[in-house]
Amino acid sequence: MLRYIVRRVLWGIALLFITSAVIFLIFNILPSADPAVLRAGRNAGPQQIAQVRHTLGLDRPIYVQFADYMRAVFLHFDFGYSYQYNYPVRALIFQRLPATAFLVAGAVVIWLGIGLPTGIVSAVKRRSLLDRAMMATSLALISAPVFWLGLVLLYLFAQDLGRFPIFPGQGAYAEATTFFGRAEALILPWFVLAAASAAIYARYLRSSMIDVMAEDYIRTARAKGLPERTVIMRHGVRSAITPVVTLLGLDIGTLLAGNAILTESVFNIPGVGRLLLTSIERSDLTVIQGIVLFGAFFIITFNLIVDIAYAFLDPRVRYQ
Amino acid sequence: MQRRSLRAIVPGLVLAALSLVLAACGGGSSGTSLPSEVGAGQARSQFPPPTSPPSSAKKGGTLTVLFSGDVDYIDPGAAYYQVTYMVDFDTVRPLLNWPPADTALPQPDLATSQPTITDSGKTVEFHLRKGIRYSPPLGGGTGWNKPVTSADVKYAIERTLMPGVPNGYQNIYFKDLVGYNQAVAAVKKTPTKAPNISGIATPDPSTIVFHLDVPHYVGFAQALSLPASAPVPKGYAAKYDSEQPTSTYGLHQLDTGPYYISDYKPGTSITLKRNPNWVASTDFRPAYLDQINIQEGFTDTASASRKVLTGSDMITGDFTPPPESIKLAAQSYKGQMTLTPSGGNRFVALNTQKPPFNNINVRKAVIAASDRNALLATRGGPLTGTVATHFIPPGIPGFQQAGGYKGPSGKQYDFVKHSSGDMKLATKYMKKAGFKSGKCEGAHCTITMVGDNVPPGSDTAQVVKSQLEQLGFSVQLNEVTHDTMYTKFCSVPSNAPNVCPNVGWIKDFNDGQAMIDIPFNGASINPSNNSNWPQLKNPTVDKALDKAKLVTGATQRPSTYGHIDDMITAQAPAIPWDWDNDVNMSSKDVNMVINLFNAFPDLSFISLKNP
Amino acid sequence: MSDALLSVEDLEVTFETDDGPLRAVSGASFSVDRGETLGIVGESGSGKSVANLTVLGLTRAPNTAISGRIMFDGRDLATLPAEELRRVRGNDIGMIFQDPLTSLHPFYKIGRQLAEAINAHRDVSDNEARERSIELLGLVGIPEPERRLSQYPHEFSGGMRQRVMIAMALINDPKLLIADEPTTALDVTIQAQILRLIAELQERLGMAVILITHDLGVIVQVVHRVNVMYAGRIVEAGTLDDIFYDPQHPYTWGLLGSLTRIDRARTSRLSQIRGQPPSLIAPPQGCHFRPRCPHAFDRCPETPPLEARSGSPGHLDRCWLEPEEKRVVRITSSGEIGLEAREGVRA
Repeated sequence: MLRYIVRRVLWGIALLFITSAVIFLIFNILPSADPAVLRAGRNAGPQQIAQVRHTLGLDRPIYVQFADYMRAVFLHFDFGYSYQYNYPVRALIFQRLPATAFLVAGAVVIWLGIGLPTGIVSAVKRRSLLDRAMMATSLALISAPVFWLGLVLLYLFAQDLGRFPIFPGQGAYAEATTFFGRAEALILPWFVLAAASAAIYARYLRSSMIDVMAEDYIRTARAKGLPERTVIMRHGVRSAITPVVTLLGLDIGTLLAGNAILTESVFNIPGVGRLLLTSIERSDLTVIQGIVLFGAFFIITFNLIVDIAYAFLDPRVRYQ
Repeated sequence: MQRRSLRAIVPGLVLAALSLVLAACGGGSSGTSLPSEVGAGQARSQFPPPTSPPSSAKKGGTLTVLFSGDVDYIDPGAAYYQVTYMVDFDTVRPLLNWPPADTALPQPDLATSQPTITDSGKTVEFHLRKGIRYSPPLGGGTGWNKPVTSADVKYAIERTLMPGVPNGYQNIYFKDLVGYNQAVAAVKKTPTKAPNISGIATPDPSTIVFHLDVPHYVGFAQALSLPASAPVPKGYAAKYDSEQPTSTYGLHQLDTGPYYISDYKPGTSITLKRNPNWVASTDFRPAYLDQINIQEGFTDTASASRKVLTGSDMITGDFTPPPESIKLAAQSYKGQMTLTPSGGNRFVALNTQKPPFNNINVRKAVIAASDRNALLATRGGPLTGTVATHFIPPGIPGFQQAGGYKGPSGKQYDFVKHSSGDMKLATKYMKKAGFKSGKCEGAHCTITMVGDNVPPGSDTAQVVKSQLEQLGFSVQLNEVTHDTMYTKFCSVPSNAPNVCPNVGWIKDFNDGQAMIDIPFNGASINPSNNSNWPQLKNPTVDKALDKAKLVTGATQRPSTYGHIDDMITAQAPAIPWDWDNDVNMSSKDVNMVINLFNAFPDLSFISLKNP
Repeated sequence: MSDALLSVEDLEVTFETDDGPLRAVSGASFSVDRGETLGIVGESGSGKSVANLTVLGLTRAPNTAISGRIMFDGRDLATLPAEELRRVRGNDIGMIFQDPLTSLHPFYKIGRQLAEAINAHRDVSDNEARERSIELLGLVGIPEPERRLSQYPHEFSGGMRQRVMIAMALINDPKLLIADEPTTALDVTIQAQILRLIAELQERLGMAVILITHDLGVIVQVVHRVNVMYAGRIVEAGTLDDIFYDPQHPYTWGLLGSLTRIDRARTSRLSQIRGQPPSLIAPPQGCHFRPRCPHAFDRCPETPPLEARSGSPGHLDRCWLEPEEKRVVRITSSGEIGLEAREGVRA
């Protein structure tokens, strides 16, 4: 088991390296804007731009720039400077991470809390009216675009804009000063981010449960005289949940990497997703590179966690 | 200066979805567009910008300002956006500054009085107030205990030459200082140290003298009203300025104004608090508010505008509210919106250096055919601006002299007369250019255009495209981000397309030179970061512009520049289509004050009704 | 019959499918008593598993119609409320299944699954449950039972797993053990071990056993009486001797004929019953075996009732042929009992 973990960690580091190289190549061979010009300021003369280019090291051959960047990242944990904010990239990302982490954590709790029971009930009461209603609702939630759902909720329930002002609205997260204030500001965003995922997890678990409940060991459990609730939860769900764990790991990893971009934009939450959006618009290459690297790190880490968790969940896996 | 992102960064899809929801929620629908310049003038007069606080203004309270983007640089030495000035005018004290109602001449701020000019304009001397102290530093730490001296002002200007301080105007307005070229060479050798400009002398701690190579009073003195001349103590800042690749002084800055920046999270928020070391009696600013919270990231500007209008203690910041919000305010929140001429123009630049627009008659035809009311409508119609008829906007000296709202009179300006377009006239010019059918024929009728990929810029580009197609041109439109449009295409002469529809210029200050020199002077064409987008290289215009720099006098200067504006208009380098208004909105319990020079709210003069 | 431990009378189980009602069991009656092993033989789809699952109530579902009586220990299980039936399952009646690998939960240790079986019906301490589990593992012949408690199903061999299943089914001292094809998934040598184990346990514990299989060779070793099922019906019932030495139904002849025997000469080819079992949605009218029976005649479209015709009192069958005729036509050309068309016999 230990060897397995060590091997996966080493491979993860190699993946990070490869990812950074690919990103670096993409943004330097196909640049969308000239960073030296952006940094030099308005009306900068050609001399000044050349000087800025030299200061930024952009006139060196690309492999030298890449080597420097990699060295800075892997040895000094230094991700360079943001062109648009004139601010160290690492500090920028760390400033934004807590908001994204809080958003993701709350959303995960909600979508598991809604999605899993829905999936189980739907599977157990397959083809009933309840099942059909739940699956139709889930299809609607999956199809609804995130930003549309967010705007609708804002215009219904936000304290500043909504018809029924109950919850804090846009920008409330940045204004909040206490933990509970921030949590309250995230209630609507949590539901928006959780909506589609709850639906997906419900359908996924339903499908998994239907497969599992047809297994022989379920028949044995019933033949043993176990109460049906125990059969469903301890024997059925326990087996059906393992693929969901894999999915969850990936989802959390990608969300932390900035996938909550739309929710963060609609509700104006200062997270990694929103930073990614503005950086793409402003061609702020170092920030984009930094976020992508962080994202890759999260995804790789959560993949690893999920694989290890899988070994704990399914004893058959441990012997590979 | 070049126009920057004062417009909404709202993804097109969001806007479409939003309009669905807004329509359901009873937002106003279109149909109330006011016609013509007269109507526009009426519209503007319904929403005049207040420039002084009410006599009952009370101290106290916290104002929240909603931004969609961020300031361009938190370092006052590099700041060049109007919206950054909104912050800097209250946090730093340059030698001169602009009270809300003054647009002709800046008033002394750090200086005790207007400067003494001698030696036929080549020597400019200021006396500084004594006993001005610095605020606590942003980012914490010990700060700087000593009072402000003239050496600090000298250092502030010298540091703008460093590559780590990306100041965009020092090479224009400071280049005539004695010793400037040597300073440029010195900083090239040692980019981590601010060079010495020998032409800036500090005979004693409260006197500073500027020696110029050329008598250049107007532009130079007005440049001293920009935040770059606010004092920066070398003993404190040098260590931050020496950092590579960029100076970190901005993140640790010392302020001298009534407020100081106590917290900055890029892209998230800026917090201004009362400067404990500021003395009210030394300042013309009343500073009613206790605290100002700038909240950033409101990319959905329609919701943000609505939030301001229906909420409390808020104002809009850096974005222009979208047309539907402007209509909403005009209908239901009348006292909460102000329209201020921004001191800027918008035009569609035609590349004069390659066919087909190297032919002046083709250019005239395009301008004649253009329905400029339609272009204005893409930004929201007459409430948001006036159709331009030349290039100097209202409020800038030279505007009236160039023809005012109606524009220059005379047969040679006939192509710019009809704001909704004149196809007959356009056809006449096309025939004059050699196209017998009156529409484009032959080799150079496929033309390239590079525009914004988000509204309203993308909408404007689409309208320009369809108007060009009416004249027989086939337009290849490439839509990219705003930055890419400039840095890769329109501002790079070797890569510039035939048409750049989303360009414009905003004054640096209220002077004709600041408005039409760089955008139309052949000498200012750069291989990159070029701002003469039409690449106009007319020797008569260039000579006139050079001579005009030296002209002084309250009547001669405006009339000289007004005349040059008309000369430029006659060359038809671009379609002038908008002198726009800055639209600002406030909550009902805010006593708004607009700074006319900046066309932005003046945070040092705003107060709350119920603090 | 009513004194027997389990007495199934006229059991009918019909599933509603998209293609119509599927009559899995039509009118089956059988019984088994303490200390007795009943073998139920038939091919897939004969209804043998469904009938026994129905005894335990494991086929109850909205789309299933069940009629008849299932008398167990004085109560009719067919109409027993679900919660009471649950107390019977795994407690008074134990059941083991065909594939022990998939029939045990792969994620839980054996000890936990055994304890669960106990705790479902009794309130005992963890220690007591553990002790009992070890006792049962020993009973079924698993060495080092304490160590084995903390192992997972995939750590056991096939035969060992089946022993564990047996231990789990017997852990609450049931009166009846139903074994549904317990050896089908196992090697031949292990098969013998498991069958012997079941026989030993029956002797030791005095319970009743129903052994379901498709393999006649299996039941020979352990059962006292045999029911042969075909297409949802019991077609022959009798003692082991009855079935092997005086089989009365052509289907039974076919089963016997397809047995391979080591002590006889090898014939040139294995004999088989021609044709396929009928559809249970639209079965043939009358005798269900008629389409495959070389001895079918004009009475066969009338459903033969299950009656004693051969002379032996407990020996029942569903074939209209006269017993004397049967004794003639069931001998094949090789001289053994089998199913073969014969010259001169009415068809």
